[in-house]
Amino acid sequence: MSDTYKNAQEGDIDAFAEIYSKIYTRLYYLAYHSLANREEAVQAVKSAAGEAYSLIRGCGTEEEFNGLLLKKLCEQIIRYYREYRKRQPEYETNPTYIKSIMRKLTDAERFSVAVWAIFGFSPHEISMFSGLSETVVTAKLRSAGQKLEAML
Amino acid sequence: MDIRNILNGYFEKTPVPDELYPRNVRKFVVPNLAEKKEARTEESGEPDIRSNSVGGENASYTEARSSRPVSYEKAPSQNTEEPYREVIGPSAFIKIVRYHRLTGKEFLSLLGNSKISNKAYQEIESNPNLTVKRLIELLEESPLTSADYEKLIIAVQRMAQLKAETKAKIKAEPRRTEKVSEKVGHSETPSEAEKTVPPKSSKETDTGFSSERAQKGYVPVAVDIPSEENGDKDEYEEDGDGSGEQEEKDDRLASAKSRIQINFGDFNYEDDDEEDYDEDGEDGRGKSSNNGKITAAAIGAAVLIGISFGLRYKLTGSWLPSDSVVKEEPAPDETGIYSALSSLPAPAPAFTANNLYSAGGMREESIVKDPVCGSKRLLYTENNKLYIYEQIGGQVIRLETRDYNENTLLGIIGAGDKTAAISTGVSEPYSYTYTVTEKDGTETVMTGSVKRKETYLEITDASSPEKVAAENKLTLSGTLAAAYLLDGRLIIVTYEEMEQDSVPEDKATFMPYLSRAGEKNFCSPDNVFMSSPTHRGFAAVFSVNLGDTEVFDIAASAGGTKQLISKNGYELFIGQGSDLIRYDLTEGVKENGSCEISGKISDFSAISVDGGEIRVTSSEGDAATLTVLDGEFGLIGEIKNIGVGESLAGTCFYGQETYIVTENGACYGIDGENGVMSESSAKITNETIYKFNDSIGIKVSAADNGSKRTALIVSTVKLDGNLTPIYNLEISSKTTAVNALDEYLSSPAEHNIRAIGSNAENGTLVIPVEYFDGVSEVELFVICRVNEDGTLSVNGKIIEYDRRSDSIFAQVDGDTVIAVTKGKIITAGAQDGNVMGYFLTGE
Repeated sequence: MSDTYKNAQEGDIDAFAEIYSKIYTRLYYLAYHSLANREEAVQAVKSAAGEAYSLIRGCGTEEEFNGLLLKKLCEQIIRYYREYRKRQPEYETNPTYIKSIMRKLTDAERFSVAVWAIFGFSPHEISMFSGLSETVVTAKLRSAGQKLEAML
Repeated sequence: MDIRNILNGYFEKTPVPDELYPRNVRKFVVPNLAEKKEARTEESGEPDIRSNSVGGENASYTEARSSRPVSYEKAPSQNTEEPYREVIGPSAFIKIVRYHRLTGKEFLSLLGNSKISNKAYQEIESNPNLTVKRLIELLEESPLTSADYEKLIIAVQRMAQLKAETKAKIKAEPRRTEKVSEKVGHSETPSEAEKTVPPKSSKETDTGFSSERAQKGYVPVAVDIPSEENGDKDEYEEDGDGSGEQEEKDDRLASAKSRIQINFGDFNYEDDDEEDYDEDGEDGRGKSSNNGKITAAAIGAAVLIGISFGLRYKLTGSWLPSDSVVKEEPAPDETGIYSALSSLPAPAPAFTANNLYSAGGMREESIVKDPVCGSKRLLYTENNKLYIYEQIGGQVIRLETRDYNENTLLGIIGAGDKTAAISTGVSEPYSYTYTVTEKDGTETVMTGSVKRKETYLEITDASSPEKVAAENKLTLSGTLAAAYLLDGRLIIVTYEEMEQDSVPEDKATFMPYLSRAGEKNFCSPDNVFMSSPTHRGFAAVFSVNLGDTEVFDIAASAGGTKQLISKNGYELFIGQGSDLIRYDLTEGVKENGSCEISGKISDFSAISVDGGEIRVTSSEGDAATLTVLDGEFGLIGEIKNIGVGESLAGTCFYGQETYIVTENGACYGIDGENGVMSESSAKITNETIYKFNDSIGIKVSAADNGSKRTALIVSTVKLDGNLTPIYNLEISSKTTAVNALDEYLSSPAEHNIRAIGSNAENGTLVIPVEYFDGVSEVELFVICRVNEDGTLSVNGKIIEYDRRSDSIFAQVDGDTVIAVTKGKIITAGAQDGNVMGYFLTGE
């Protein structure tokens, strides 16, 4: 265990910031391209970081903590998906090219393909993070791949 | 193409907001606070969506909530950025509604005028046993904002104010209720029975009834205002001697008091101090919640009051006006019909109101279906289009999509080797001229035009519904009210209000008609029965031979207000105003006698024919009347003053027993043999029961833990009059996805039982289900087998991920399950659920 991680576990925010700095961009990419807009993505990352940090003492290694952080972010994203059932997502008015492409995928496809692309996880690993069955993730990655091939 | 690299190339160009930079991590990660927050989330066992809602205000809201034990309570004023919705939301609204004790009708009226979704409204309306927690969930899911709740609360307060004023007015009037003898029913002498007249003119009868109800605790809604609040007692509560004692014993008491048939008692406020107001009332309602169901228990508590009209008939035959009720039928011509009718428009007819409840579980099923599945064709309707598919083996191929454009497609009628698509719309403008004579004698020719409401039938062979012959396209005047199949004939009842600018000399503007092959055939004036000419509505009865559409007949009744229709064998009854008209359907349709009954046909009314006796319920004043007639319209007896002052909701019959249900869930059962209101042997329900076969019924309901759904329950019940439970099958979304939430699990069969598919011959039952698996919508068809003993076993399932259809339903064709979703029809084996094929409709 590195000293930085040990310090973070003991409540050193600066040490935590150092660990966080290694992963936060990818977390944001995942959140931003899975959710409807920037504000939701920022909030999701903040909440995930806050929740994960409160449990940092239970993680033996930095890798374990990173896994927890990603899992918390996945939960946040899924919570937003549930909210989308109750209200229309507020999409950005001027999305980037890739954002507009991703929007054409379904929630499940977008989420699965984003985790796969950013973190390189297998369908089995994505299944563990998201709670979706491996079969569904595989099917979603396949259908998302077909759509993206046609669009990109 | 390396999609991953391409995506990452784009993703890495995404600018990351400053606020997420590591240097700012201190702003959103606070160790102690985060720990508390996590602990709270863990405790609650579910995600706190509020804590991660959007916006900068969110941080302070999260902070205030998470530090609730200290800062939230000590310094609530600091929590100024807490969303207003938290202050005025569904909970606050419901609390205000409860506080002011609104009736179910008032509550629904409020919601009906709000922005609540139709689906949520229908769930609330159709589910009298809804828990408050579920109600709050529904409201939370609705688009209502805090501003809307604020408006609703103002409306509630205004309603309460008006009620208080009304109550004060009632209080100022002389009392109508007094104590009388408890001994009523068989012991009542015939002479007393003869005094059974409307409440205001017969104090004895009225008060006897009310007294009994008061002693039983059946306090009518209209005057059940919180006495603590108003500092007085209503007139029914005056009889307080026995009410206190009997209140606890009486299953139905609380339900009669509960006003809204929502299970308020299941809801416990989190904050004790919110119970401060009206504690007594809370207790009462708490009991009511558990007893407010329209169940056998409720019926068991039905009032043991009534008069044995059968006995009276034997003892005092003289009071029975056996032949005076039969009306002489006038025979006017077309001009006479027009002239006799009032110019007043008729109010909307209530053809289906009494269909909310049923005795013994089964309701009369409409023959107009959404899907019709034959051996060769599958027809279904969606978005005002009729889709016709050919079934080849397990596959389906779309043959035709028929768009009804400006008309409204109502459904499909399957009649053996014939199929009829039924739709409604308005006619082309019909021009006419008429002459107006001025005072000075000059005559002016005027022109006008009228559009009439019409019902359209397209009758085809069931084996080739895509082919419609021109002569089999029929146009009937009026809007569809009821449809029946009888010996290869289609009996259609329509209702139409005569257009205001109709002219007496032009029958085309107001007489019922049937158009076929370009020829308009008007109803003969001889076949028009003149009902109470208070309004200008027509109820027309059409008989159409499905095999030969050239053979048809028309009869009609004109006038009257509320309409009521009932078919029994070859007899069709239409209630209109105070008239009961009988049509003979043996050959064509012919009017076959009529009579006048006490009171008026109302929304809750119904007709039953059983054992040669005709029973009809009507309203007189603020009470119900049951009239029993023999086959010749001779009056056998009447019971009046049923449910005085209560809101009558529906009538249902079980054999010769009659049940009158009030909006409070109270139910009056009237024994058919001796006419005494008594404990019922049948169960009254407003649940929808699917008739699987003659002995087994299916119902689909939600299980909950008091606050949210936990599963769907598919139950089998015996159709023995009491819906005796046989078996429950629990469906959970957890079995297909770990992250799935059963609170989002639902089935269209909960509201529309026709979404179920079945084949009684091989025992196949298919339940369509929808849920959210954590990321996407899922449509699931659970394929079961109904065993001979009524138990259920699951054969397999069809799952469609990432789909959400407006409607899904299932059909079973032999051993093939056909699952219909939006744009996709899937076929699977009934024995194992293995998908055989699917067809994309492209819609």
